[in-house]
Amino acid sequence: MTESAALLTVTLPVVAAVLGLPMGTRSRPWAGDWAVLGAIGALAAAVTELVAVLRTGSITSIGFLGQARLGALTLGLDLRSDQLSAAVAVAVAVVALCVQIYSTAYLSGEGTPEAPTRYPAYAATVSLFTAAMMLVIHSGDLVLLLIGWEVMGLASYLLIGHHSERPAARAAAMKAFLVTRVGDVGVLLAVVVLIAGAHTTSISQLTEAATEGAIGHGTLLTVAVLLLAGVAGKSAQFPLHTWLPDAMEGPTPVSALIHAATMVVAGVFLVARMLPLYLAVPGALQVAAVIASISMVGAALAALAQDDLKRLLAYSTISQVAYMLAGVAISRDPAGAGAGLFHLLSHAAFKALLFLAAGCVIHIVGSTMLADMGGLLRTHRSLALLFGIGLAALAGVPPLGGFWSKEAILTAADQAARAGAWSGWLVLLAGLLTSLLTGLYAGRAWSIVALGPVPQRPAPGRPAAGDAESEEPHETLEPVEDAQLHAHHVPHRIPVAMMLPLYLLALPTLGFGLVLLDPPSLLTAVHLDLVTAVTGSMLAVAGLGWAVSAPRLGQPDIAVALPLRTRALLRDGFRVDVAQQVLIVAPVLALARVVRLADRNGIDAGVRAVAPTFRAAGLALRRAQTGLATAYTAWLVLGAVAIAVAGVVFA
Amino acid sequence: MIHLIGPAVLASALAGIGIYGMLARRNAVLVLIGAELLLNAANVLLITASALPPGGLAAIPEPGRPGPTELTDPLLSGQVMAIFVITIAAAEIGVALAIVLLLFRSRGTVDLTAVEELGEASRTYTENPAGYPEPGPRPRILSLVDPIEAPVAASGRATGGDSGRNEGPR
Repeated sequence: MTESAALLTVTLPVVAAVLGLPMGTRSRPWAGDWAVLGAIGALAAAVTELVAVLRTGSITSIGFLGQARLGALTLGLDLRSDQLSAAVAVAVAVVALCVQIYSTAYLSGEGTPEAPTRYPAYAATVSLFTAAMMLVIHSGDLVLLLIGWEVMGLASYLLIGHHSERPAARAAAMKAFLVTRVGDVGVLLAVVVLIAGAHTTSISQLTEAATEGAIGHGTLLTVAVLLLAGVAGKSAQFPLHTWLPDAMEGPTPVSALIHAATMVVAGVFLVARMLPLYLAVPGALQVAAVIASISMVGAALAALAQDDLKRLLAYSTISQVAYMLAGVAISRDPAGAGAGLFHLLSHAAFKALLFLAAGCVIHIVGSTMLADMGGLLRTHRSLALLFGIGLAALAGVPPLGGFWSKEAILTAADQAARAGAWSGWLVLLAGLLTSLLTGLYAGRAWSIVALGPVPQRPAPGRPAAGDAESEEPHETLEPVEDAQLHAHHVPHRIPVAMMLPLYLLALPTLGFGLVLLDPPSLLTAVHLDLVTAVTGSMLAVAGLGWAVSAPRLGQPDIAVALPLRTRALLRDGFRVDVAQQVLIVAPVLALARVVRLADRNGIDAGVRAVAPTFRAAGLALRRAQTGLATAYTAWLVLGAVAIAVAGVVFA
Repeated sequence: MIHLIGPAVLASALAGIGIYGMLARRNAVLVLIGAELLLNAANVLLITASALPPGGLAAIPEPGRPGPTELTDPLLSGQVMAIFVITIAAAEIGVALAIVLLLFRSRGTVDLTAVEELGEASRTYTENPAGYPEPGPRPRILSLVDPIEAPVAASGRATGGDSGRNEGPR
């Protein structure tokens, strides 16, 4: 039961991807059906797996790709299924299904010449992305996990650069690929070090050996730090976070998929999966806590000053993933990762809701800039309320899902701090500060998008620069017929296929805290302390209220209160991009130029020198042709003497 | 039985005089005589060697040891080779004298230093010994050159007469 469910969870999206791709543009409806069917199948399999795992317990070895014999080492390319993988699989499947349903409407039609929709390739890549994430969370071997990890990198590259006609999309895809690749090298090296130092890459064997102390401390520390590099890359943590805001060039449903369920949480998942190994080397966990604290506060500050809705959400993702990583990093026993994982699951729901709702807003407005938005509550009440639910969950307003999971992390940090861990104090302070900041930027988004004045609508044919949604064929957006909305001069109706996933995702966003009534063993360590919970939520609500009431206090939005230069600094994400450009990209490019010069003038020069050398030799030999018969005879005699001498010497 | 040293010295003396004659003389006939001397030095050595027992010098016993069973090679290979050399030398001298005769007829001299036109490094070397006019561009009857490339090819041909050679019908 569990085995077949886990196998189906991984393989069904692959089948959907493979079957969906050859369904060319002519049979576009079939491609959509395949993709949605694959997602539904994966969801059914994941739910079955979760139920089976909760009933019968976990299985650490499910035959998948057989065994790979590599010399002295035999890799068991098996899957495993436990509460961790099953729970994350359900979250991934739900988000993937919502994204697939949403995309059928969002990427309908042929698009414009600058941004063709290319729906079949898109849907197949999303399925492949889902499959890669399923493989990562189910793999029982680090090598198999690495395969899924790399496929995920490829799929994210393809999807971010989906509108490859735009240079910005191409650059963002390349940046995402290269930056995450920097981290992926760490994972690859970690696997190599494990094979050399521990002679196994099986996760269950590693867990056992690390718990028993059978692996050397040096090996463990190296592996843990190298894996952290991969985690920082995939989960977009400081200093490898810069790809995520730029990845907003991709279609909005892709952002929902990347941010909510697949890509960025893979890093947190990896740390949670390898937690027994990390617990043996607390130094690595402290490093993770520091990284998470920096990312948490920094990204929240940067989100505060964004003037693009998608980039605001992107920075909020960095901040929230940092929460999860911090929640895992302060754990002191194998069950301690519960708070971080709890936040991972609730974040999957509300961040997908936020991104898909933002996609609807962008669909209506035709721009991603906050300045072009406003008055959503008057024009599209239900959409605005759904967006508001997502923002409230993001800020952690009780009793929404985000509240329970975030306060669980703060409580865990509080407990860790009381137990004397300095990383606990760090996470607690950063988390409380981030609570306030999250409330501020969530409230700012709400006050601009939902409450703000309705701006002048851009003309339908207006070529919006940097507009990710210009592929939307505006002629399909008919004036609304609904009597309720008709009163408010609404130019656009949102397709059902785009609203349905929002309602679907609003359910877990609203009610995720109910899981705590009867927590599975994965989440038994999740506790809420009254003091921290009240402090955290008070800070969040204070920030929210401050930001929402800012317009009434005379400022158009809360970010305007910041000094202009500070605001520009925050909007550019502390100019980490510039720093990376100066410190890393420019030296690397300079090095590349040196290498190119050396290649041309050193190695290639040797090859090119062959012809001139032989020409010079020919010219020199030509000097020997004097035309004097006597001189030729002299050469002949010299040759004869040389042969005679050689004969005498070597005889 | 004479000592080996006599023919060996004679052969080396002949060879030395012959080489000297070939290298130092300018008169073609005397150079040929030098070559003849060199050949005869070889002949002397061949006939001397044929007087040795089979196996050559290595077969001669040390003093006090019994001699070899056969004193001379029954096939007389050295003498046969000498006959060959004499025959070939006769043919060679015939051809060589004919060349010298022709040289004298055409140039009125048999001085070898005066004829060096064929050496590419010589002062009198020329690519066009008969003084024919330089070959111009070939008339193209069937042009397979790409019309876009044609102006480039034409200008390239105009710069040097010899690049026209590279353009045949492809």
